[in-house]
Amino acid sequence: MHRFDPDEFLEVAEHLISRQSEGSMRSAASRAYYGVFILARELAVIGDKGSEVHLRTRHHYEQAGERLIAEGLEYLRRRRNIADYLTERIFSQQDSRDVLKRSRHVRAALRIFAGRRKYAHAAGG
Amino acid sequence: MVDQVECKPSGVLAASGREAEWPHYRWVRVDSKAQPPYKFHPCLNPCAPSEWPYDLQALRGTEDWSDIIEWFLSRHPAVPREDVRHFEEELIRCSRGRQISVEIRRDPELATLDLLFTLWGFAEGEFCFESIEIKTMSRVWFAVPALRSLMGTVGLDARRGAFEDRRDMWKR
Repeated sequence: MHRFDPDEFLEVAEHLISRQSEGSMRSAASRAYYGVFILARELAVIGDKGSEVHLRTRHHYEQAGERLIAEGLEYLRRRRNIADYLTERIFSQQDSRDVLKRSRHVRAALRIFAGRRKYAHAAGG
Repeated sequence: MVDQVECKPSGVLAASGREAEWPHYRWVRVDSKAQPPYKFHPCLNPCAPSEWPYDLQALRGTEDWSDIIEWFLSRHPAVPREDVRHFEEELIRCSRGRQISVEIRRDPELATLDLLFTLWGFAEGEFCFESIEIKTMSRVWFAVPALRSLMGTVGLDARRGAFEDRRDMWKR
């Protein structure tokens, strides 16, 4: 079964940041968010199709006490909304770098979360 | 053509109209007690509400600050006022004297509104979210159940530069 690795979105975001256009900066922020959101959603085993899936995914980590992940998803989604919808505001390279850096932090936290869950599952089983 | 739209529940009317040049973006004059009025373009700002306070950002200590928080609370009666007040107090305590602003943000996909606080004055090149102010506030926010339940309803951001220079971030 083919399974796309959302990490690739972070690589795309990195590539886009190296370009100079504002469209690239905005797209980088958007890709960086989805790079971690998809991973977060999959780890939370949430299969919703509507836009509320963003909210449910963040809420899952909030309930699980995963502060860095819940807050990170919240922050990244806000920035992604600005990047994708707010055209009257300048979206700078620094803005994109902030988003990408935060995305990497959230991805690291998600990997730790996944590792802990796998260990708990193995120990329990 | 200039017409009038309601900008506050009190019924105060703000001027509105369309730009003379194509594509004739509709604009609304945003009124403030602490800042000069400015033009707001709804179609270019779907992340802001479609009525006052639009995208107005208010600095702590101004009348606009209280007005914006009151506006938000009046539209979200289920959000406990004392919890928002508590969040505000904790943020002020953690901010170590930094400028703080408040605004309303609209999620264009979920059509929800939230109250966004922003800490200002971070240095160029500084990753604001690793600052002691943000880290301390994050811990408090998550550790207190009443505050944690505000997540998604209340947000926290951090920006470089002074609040007064923020218009440099906008194309107007």
